[in-house]
Amino acid sequence: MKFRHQPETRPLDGYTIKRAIQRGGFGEVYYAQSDAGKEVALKLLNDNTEVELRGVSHCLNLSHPNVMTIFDVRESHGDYWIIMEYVGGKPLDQILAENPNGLPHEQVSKLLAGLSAGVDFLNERGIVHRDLKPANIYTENGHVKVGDVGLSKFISVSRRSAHTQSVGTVYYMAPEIAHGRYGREVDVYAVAVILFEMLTGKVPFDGETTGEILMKQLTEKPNLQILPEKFRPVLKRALEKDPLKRTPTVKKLAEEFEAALAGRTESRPARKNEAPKYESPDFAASAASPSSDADHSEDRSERRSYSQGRRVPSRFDNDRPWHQTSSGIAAALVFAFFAVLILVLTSPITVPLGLLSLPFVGIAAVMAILYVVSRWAIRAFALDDGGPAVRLNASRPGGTATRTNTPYVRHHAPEALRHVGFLQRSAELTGSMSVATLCGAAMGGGFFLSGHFESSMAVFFGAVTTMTAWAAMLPGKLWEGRGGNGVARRLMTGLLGCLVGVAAFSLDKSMMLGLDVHDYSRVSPQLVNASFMPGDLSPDDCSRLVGYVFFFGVLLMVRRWWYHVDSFRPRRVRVTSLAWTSLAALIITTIPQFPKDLAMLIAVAASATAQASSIWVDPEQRANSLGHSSSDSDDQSTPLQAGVL
Amino acid sequence: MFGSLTSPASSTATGSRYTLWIDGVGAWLVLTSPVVTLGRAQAPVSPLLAKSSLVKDTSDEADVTIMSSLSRKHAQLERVNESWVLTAHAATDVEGRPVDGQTVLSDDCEITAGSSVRLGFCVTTPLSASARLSFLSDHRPAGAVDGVVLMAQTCLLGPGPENHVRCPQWPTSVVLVRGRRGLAVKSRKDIFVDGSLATGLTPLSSGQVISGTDFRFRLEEINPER
Repeated sequence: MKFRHQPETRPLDGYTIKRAIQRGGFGEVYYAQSDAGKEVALKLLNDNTEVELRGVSHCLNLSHPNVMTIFDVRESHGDYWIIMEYVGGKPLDQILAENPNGLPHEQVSKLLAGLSAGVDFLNERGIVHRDLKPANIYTENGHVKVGDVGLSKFISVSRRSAHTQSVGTVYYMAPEIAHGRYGREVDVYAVAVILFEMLTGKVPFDGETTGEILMKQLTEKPNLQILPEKFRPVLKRALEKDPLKRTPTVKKLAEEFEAALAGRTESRPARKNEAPKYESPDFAASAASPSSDADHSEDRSERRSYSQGRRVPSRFDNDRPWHQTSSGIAAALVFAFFAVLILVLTSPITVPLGLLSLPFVGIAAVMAILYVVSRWAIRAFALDDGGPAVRLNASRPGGTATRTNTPYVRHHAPEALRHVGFLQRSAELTGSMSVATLCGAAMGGGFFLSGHFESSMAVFFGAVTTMTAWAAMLPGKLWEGRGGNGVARRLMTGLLGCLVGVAAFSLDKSMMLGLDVHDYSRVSPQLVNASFMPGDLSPDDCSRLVGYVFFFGVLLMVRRWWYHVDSFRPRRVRVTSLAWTSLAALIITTIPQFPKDLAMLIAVAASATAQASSIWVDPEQRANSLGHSSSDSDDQSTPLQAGVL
Repeated sequence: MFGSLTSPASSTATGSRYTLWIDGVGAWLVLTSPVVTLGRAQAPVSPLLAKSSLVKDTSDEADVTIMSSLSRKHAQLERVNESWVLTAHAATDVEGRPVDGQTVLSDDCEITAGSSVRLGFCVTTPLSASARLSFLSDHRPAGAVDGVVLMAQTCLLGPGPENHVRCPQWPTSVVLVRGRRGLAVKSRKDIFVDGSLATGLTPLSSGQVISGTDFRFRLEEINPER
């Protein structure tokens, strides 16, 4: 790498060059000292002098802590020199090179805050940087400095699309630059790409050639699956091809990222001048837009207290979802039980009111009311027990409670492929099945004690509920962490459901319950004389058997039960899942004769039992679980076991 | 203090403190003395006042001066055979453990001087007793120095991790050798000293520029009169 000027020369009066720093597309940069000892960076313009000088002249008197200051522009011996602030820290590209799998979220947050403040400062003054990339972003003493504002372009209506020169680095180049458009959205896109890279260590669009990357920028959608789920809506919107649909400002992007990082999902009204022109549905559902700086400072102070090993004590910890506390889970179980109980007990009221005669509306209404009431009860009465957000670090002197740093989580959905050892599967499955048995027995006992069921019916209900939950958990645990075809899985669970149906029929017959289960189809009469049917089955029994088999077979087939019992499921117990399972049971009973209230009871009870009994890993600990399970042997305990009830 | 009070005048490199101004890499302090002191930097003085009688005498300043609240002679590093021994004159931790008196530094350890100055100590190659000090915290010397080489007999500059000064873009390593008459330089590939082809081990003088096909650096002695 050859540079034009030698060390210890003074091409510009008053400054002595000590060494060369780099050669960029627009010239050479030197480290120099003034005669008074001031350290500066001297940028010698080679080509594009007019373009750069025009951009620099607009930034000459701008001052911001996150923007590299331009002190002056001088002409000497026909050369133009830009005298800039010298920043001695590492550029972001070097930091990224040292962290090929991405940076910790807290560091990303800090870097993005500085970057967005600097870029927003420029944008708000009509300056578009146009060449934002990690090599142009410096860190010094923990502060971010946006450099190379020489490429900046003054926004004006007449010039907005006038400059058609293709400059900048293609990885960070917004698609509209191909059409010569350089609005502030270009900087939003570049910051989004940098944010993507900071989170994952990869750029969203890569390729062998510049043309290939450009083509991907123009046509392909970014693969957001490698991002943690909470950041996907934020990046999806910020990487929109259409600048009008993109996140409007860099500041807004940073706010959305902070909101996603803090786990805030409720939408807050955006400022009028920042209101997006096109609201993305999934963004509106999952990302928040904080409205005031006060909110931000509060969030930041809270995170600081976490990082410093302290946690704000809170009796009613509303920052954490109820399903992430053990008290919330216990309350959810109680809720599920009482939901079923109240549905039955109120049948004399709801049936005359026509609620149950309108299954869709009625069930949804009753469930919604119960959910709201139970949630209120949980918040009002459930004491915060610390839960997974605080972990005792025994290795620290004194065993101080510290918040686990949110790990970098790439895949934490049930579909995530991961290694789960045989012994671990076995231990978790047997543990979960034992808990499910207790749950089923408790539910049957509850109905017996409430006087709704007789003892034999209570036993039948508890046993069938337990068997249905087992039929969901057994294959679900076997498939956990493995890829598989959904149709094949449904057929398999459906087959297990058929076995549950046979068992339920046998139980019914042996206990002489005589439940009103029948098959209306023409299948059962033809099966009476089939060779594989027991000889003592009457046609009526055969019809009832088919009814049982059909109901449980279809019930186990229509729902993705393996998803509901996976340890990486979104929530431990999802009320919506209970409602959908209940609805599915109701619909199934329109084909064979099966008591509708009993069908819904069994479906809800089995779903609640399966979900509540199965292992569930806190999302914040899933990365650790992934790493742990992939590196340790099968016979070692894992953090997953901490989630057992 | 160094950097801002350097003399560009060419003289034989017989001192013990040098700055390497390396294009595209940074500025590195090279110390050839077997005993190196670490301490607080005095307030930087403008070169415009270098000859003023108001400027304090800096002859008792530490070899590595850091803009911090350390003592003037906070700690001492001494090369004993192939090892480096740290003597703490004030509160100093090594790998989180307070140093009471002396301790032998292990490779790739962290030194904490005072409450917040963190330095990394690394012996990059077992073939050389030279070591590297890097600045882990935000504290820096008064000049733009990116790291310190505690030079025994050799100082390696090049792309690989075994080099004391990592120069990722360089095609090959360049070796600085400490001899009786000062520093010398050699490399497997052609190098030029002040534009002249240098073959074999070539003695260096302060202010000379060493260059190759894809690199360039300048050796500058610090306070030769000290």
